[in-house]
Amino acid sequence: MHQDRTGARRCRCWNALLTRGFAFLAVFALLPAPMGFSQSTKGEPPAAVSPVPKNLPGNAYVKVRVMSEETTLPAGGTGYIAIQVKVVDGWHVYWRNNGDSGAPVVVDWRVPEGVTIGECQWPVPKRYAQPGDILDYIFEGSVILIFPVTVSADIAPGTEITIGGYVQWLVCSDVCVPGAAEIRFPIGIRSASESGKQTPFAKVFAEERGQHPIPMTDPAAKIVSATWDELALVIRCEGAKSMTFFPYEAFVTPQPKEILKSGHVEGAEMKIPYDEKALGAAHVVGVVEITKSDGSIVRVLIDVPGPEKAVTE
Amino acid sequence: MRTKKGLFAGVLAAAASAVAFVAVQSPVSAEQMGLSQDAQKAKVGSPAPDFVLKDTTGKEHTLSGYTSEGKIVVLEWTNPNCPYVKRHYEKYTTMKDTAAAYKDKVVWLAVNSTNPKHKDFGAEKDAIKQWGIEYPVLIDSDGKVGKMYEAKTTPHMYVINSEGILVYAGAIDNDAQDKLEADKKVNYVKQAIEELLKGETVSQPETKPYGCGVKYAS
Repeated sequence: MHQDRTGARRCRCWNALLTRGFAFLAVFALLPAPMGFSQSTKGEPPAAVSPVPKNLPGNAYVKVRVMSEETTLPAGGTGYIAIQVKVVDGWHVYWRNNGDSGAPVVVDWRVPEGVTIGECQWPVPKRYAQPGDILDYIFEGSVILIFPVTVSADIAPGTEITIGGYVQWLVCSDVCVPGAAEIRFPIGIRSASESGKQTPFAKVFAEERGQHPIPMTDPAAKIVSATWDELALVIRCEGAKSMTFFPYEAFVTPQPKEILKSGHVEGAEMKIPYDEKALGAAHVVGVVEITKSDGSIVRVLIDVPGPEKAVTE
Repeated sequence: MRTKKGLFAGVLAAAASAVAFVAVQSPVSAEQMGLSQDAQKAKVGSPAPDFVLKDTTGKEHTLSGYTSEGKIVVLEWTNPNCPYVKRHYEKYTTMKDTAAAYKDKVVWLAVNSTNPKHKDFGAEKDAIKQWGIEYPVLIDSDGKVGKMYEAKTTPHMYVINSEGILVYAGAIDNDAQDKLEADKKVNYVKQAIEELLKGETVSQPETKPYGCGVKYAS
């Protein structure tokens, strides 16, 4: 196993007010070998709580790299970073809802005070059915996980902060093995009034966002409807050739029944049964991916309150 | 310990119920009887489907043989090559510890439904020695019992009360990611057993199991 590390290329970005910012290139991390902390304690993340296990078998099948959309993050604003998980052919990792088996890719961030990393913005996975009616939600090849980074206005522009992360995954072919990697990278803070400079990876962010699910309120989602027919969630889309529904994990939403059968249809309407646990739920959530007759793909985040009644009188 | 008489009675009971099931099926269709294909599948709150399986020594075990003795039965779907099973035998000794804590009241049966063509087939032989497993490991290589119980992961746990009713199905504990502090961890099987022994209803009868997929052939 080798560890390939590209050095950060410094670029001086002057503006009328401030000092330098830092360009940022990808950092490859295969095996965790934590670098020594830099001398300055300002902008340092707290130390890892648990030791990073080395030589996990799942590290042989996965490469992790981290990217930033812009060369700096705005004080008092939000910027974006991403983790790319590249998986060897014939193996796969799992979505936020892994499905019946497996385990999602998990990132534990370690950031300095004043910096918050928000929820991961996941792409839509693939359904993977195995004998025994086991249905999982997976990614093959490569998956890019985008994270918003919010910086307090109290952090002085010009500060360099270090963002640390511990990524864990289960990678499977016909067998499963766990893997983990530690990542850490420096990034500069700019004033909110200054506009950010894109890194060479900015186009990756744009491409990814184009494939993320859109909210139902988006004009492009007008053709999609989601209503309850007793305990069945009925999703319809004008002009749909096929539809697939990916429920979010049990932690955030009641789970559908018979999703293996009901979660994919050839046609413009799907009926997904739920049980009484969905009654009165504040949120029933999942993503519907629709292939239209013209070949285009629409992905919509369905987030509706649960049904009121099981049986209409 | 089961006597020969108990074993005979168990096998007879199993045979009798098999005959009864066939008799119900044949002249009248299952649908006409109001029975569905799912009649054989395990359901929390209903009698646990009976089965006979051989363990690694070739000895036969019948579920109803144990429940007819008034024992609580725990079924643990396992595959020793799965990292989640390893977690509960190497990093922790959850399964052995729980089995040992209740060994007079609970019969613990591990079940391996890995199909014979899979890489992981036969892994229990070494695991039993390495991990010092003393309870039976039942071999379900055609996956029939796994599918009856809709076992999806290893581990996937089931608790059957002394009346033969399935009272718990799901995860071994609430800590799929192995991140919780010890005082926040809940061993669902231990919890169900404790509640049964106190004569209480099982408070969390169903949870989502976690682990690797069971390796069925088809």
